[in-house]
Order: sequence, then structure tokens, then C-alpha cells
Amino acid sequence: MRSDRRSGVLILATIAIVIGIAGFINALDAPSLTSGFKAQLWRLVSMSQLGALITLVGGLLAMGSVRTGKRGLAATAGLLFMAAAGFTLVAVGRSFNWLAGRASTLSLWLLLGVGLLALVISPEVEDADAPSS
Amino acid sequence: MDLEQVKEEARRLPTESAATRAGIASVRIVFGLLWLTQASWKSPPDFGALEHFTSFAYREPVFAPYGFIVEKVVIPNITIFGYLVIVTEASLGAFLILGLATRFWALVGIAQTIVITLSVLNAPNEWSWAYYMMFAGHVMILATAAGRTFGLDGLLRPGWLRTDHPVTRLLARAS
Repeated sequence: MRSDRRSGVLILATIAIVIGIAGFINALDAPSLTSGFKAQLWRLVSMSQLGALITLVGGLLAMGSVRTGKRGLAATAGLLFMAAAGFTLVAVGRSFNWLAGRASTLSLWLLLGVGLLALVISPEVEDADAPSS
Repeated sequence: MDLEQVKEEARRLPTESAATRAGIASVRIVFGLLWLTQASWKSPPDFGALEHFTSFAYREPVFAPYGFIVEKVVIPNITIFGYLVIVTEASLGAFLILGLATRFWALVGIAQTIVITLSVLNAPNEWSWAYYMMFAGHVMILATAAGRTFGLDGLLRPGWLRTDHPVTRLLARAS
């Protein structure tokens, strides 16, 4: 992975880690790991402790990709965020919304998932120039 | 410097200056945050708040044919349209903040702004200029291809332009 792409992954990983930690602290008053809570984090997103942990784990995987240069870690993190976004789309407003996300949280996880996957999957200039045989 | 050169210099947009690029990127990100935050109050399964605001399209009509469609088609199927709104606005937030396929998503933002404007422009206590500014902001994001500055479009576009694949060609055009 080229350094400019690593910078992109680093930014997304940092966002995920910060929101994961802050979201977990913000949800400490919630009665269980999967419960929602009253206040939205920075008036942007809401998530349960489980949702915050998923965000944190995804961020750490992406950070691992930055440190090791292994695309697979960033791709795994991206797929994790896409799964969280997909689950939230189905579960928002329903009793089994264990991640306690709203549509804005869906947007955040979509941002992280699509961003990481785009950085990992998109062809680099060197790939495009490589012989096709 | 002759007169033509002076005129050309006077009209030249300062797109290469760091301040201009940061300004363009910040507008894009703020509009992304706008959609991200506004997605949060659209709540299934009943979409009560969304239904309330959408119904102004025929209770305080801006454009009667649109109000008719909302009354006869949208409101009876508010769950389907509600999910469509969630997906659209959550995606607008994600893609505009990332600066990915930005020109396409700016067009989607313009379309969604028109839909919202046609619904609530005449609603009580609405500030109409908010919707005109939303429209203008998305036009600016579209016109400046704002994802190319501090966005993924700028980072990934060289690879897309040099790869002969339908998806990358599409992304290059959308960015």
C-alpha cells in the first residue's frame, strides 16, 4: 500500500478508534452491553457499548493495516463496518437493535466501511501500469 | 503584462492555493455532516416525524402536482419511502465526507434538496433560505468536483483514469 493510501487508512482508523472509545465511555450508563442511551455522541451518532466495541475493533484492525502494510486487515475492518451498517439498516427502530444505532450511525459505519474498502480495492497507478499477463 | 494577460489573470480561479482547496473540502465535509445528522431522526418502522413533514407537500403545497403524488403515492407507502430516504441521506453523509464519487453524490444531494424543498418550503416557521443555500452548496460541490481536494476522489482517481474497466471509468466520471 502506497503512503498516501496509508494516510487515508490512518485517518479513517483514527476516526474509528476515537469514536469507539468515546462511544463506549458515553454508553457506560446504559443498563447492558446492547442497550441504547439518552445522549447522542457529540450530537452526531448513537451506539451501544457493543456498537462502540465494534467501532473500536474495526479501527484497531485498520490501524494494524497501517503499521504492517497488510491490506487484508483494512479490508476486514471495512467489511466489519459494512456489516454493522447493514445490520443497523435492518434493526433501527426495532427491538433487536443491539448496536443501538440510528440512521446517522449507519452513515458513520458506511463511511468507514466504504472508505476502507475503496482504499484497499481501488487500483493503484502502479497496478494499472503493470503488464496484464 | 498586456491587457489580455491581465484579463486572464483577473479571471483565474485560485484553485491551486491551499486555502481555496481547504475551503472547498470543508464545504463538502460540512454538507456531508448535515446529511449524516439529519438522517438520525428518520425512525422506522412508522416514520412518524418524516410523514409529518412530508405531508406539508399537500397540506401547504408548493407545487400542486407534487403534493398530489405525495398524498396518493408517498404517504400510503411511507415505510418504503422512509427506508429510501434513510439509505439516500446516510449515503450522502458517508460519500460527501469521504469525497468519493462526489459529483454523482452532489447531484443526488441536489435532487434530495429539491424533494425536501417541494415538501416543506411553505410549512409554518420554515426558513426558506436554508433550502436555497442547501441547493447552492451542492451546486458548488458539483461544480468544483470537491472530492478531488482532501478527498478519496483525489487519492484514487489517478488509478481509475489509468485502468480500463467499466467500474473505474464510471467512478472517474462520477468523481
